[in-house]
Amino acid sequence: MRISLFSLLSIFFALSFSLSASAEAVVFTANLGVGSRGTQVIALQQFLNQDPDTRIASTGPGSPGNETSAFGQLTRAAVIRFQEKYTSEVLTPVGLSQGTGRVGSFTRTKLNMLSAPAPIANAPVVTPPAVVPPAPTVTPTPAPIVIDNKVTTAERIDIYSGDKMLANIKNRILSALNESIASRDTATATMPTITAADIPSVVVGALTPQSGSPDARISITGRGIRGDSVVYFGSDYIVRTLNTEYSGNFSFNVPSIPPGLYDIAIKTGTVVSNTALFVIRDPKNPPVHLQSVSPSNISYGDTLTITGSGFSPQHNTVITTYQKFTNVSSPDGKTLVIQLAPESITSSAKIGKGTRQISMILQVVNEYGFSDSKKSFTMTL
Amino acid sequence: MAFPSLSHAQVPFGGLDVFEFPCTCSPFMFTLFAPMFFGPIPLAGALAVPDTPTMFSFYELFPTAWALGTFTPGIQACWMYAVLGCFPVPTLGMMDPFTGTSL
Repeated sequence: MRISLFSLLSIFFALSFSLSASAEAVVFTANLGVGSRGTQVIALQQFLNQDPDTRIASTGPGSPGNETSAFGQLTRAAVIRFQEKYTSEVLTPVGLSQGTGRVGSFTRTKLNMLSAPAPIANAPVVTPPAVVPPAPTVTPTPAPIVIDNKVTTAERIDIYSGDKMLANIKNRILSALNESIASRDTATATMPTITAADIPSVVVGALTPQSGSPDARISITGRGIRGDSVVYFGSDYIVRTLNTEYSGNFSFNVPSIPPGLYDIAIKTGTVVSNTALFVIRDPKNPPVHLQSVSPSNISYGDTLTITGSGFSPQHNTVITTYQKFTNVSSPDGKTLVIQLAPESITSSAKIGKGTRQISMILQVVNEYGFSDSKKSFTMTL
Repeated sequence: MAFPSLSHAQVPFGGLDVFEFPCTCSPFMFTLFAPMFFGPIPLAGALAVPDTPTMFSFYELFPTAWALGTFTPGIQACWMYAVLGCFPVPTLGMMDPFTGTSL
């Protein structure tokens, strides 16, 4: 039987391919940075050592064959070289031009693409036999959205359960207040008793900053947050890993999920916090700028016109001191119109003498970001 | 109406601003904090916050803002109008200027 040289070469390369693939197929699932430890770090160092451009070290700890489980400064430097080698896929999408040395979502995506069984980017370069047709030109495709931040069926919760507890407190107090106003009695209002059981034991106080691109680090302040807490981005996405800051506070890295405005809730054990707004920014979107609000003084139920730029066609949230509006539309992107009739003022507005002027401020937030300023106005009751 | 005096002790606190309504008979806002911390046990509590544009430039209090600051206890500053007169709305006290927020 005649076996051609090409057939032998094909068999040889096929065997090499399968052996190589089984050794190199690593899936990076965790964010890694200086101080990280574990098998993912070993795998990362092994992967980086395959490319002379990203080699951890040529001798000693971290060098090929001497990979360690510790992510130190040498690993960080190698990750920076890796990120800058693949700038267009790792750094540009998040608006960076220099590597960070931290393995986040986009870096992981590129690592996983390169370490996937096929194609193998680091396969030995060989001159193909003349009979092998040239490989077709492949147009690079954008990095796929990482789906490991999707909420699983078991993780699905009502992220607004903490908000509902707070709304219940608000309603009870307003009810008591309205009773006092309706009674025309000048005795001290009787307020409801609020116990610890009425308040969620996990509370999000602030996210700093309130917006960011994928992989940005966001600090959380609040109560009841622990290292094993998880962060929900709306009902569909989740961040399962919190970082512990030197201050004792916690932080998380913005996941690579679709840009937009998200309600953030934190779950510790079975308790769900209140929600806070957060925007995952898309660098292509314009900033949200507030120009003016008019008129500067209104009556209860009047409309208020907000001018500026960077308003979303459909999904603007206008937060005022006494009332919040969601999904306010702005067909021209420059104007928003709201009708102010806060529930907490309804009873007072009915009996108002037109002598009390109350101050309010407003802020706009949409999928592009938070407004660059807040505007004040007054309402006469 | 009572006003703060230096003889009152200022109590440090922190808390989540849940909601507000204007005190229609006095220049204050009723602001509910839940939870509110000024001791080891989390509570819910209301404070009267001065309602002036100048104060807003310091406070910028919004619902869901986390406030850190001090209040002067025992001051009945929030009064509501009810046709026949004004009635007091009980609060823990009056928030002091320069309270910070998370915004």
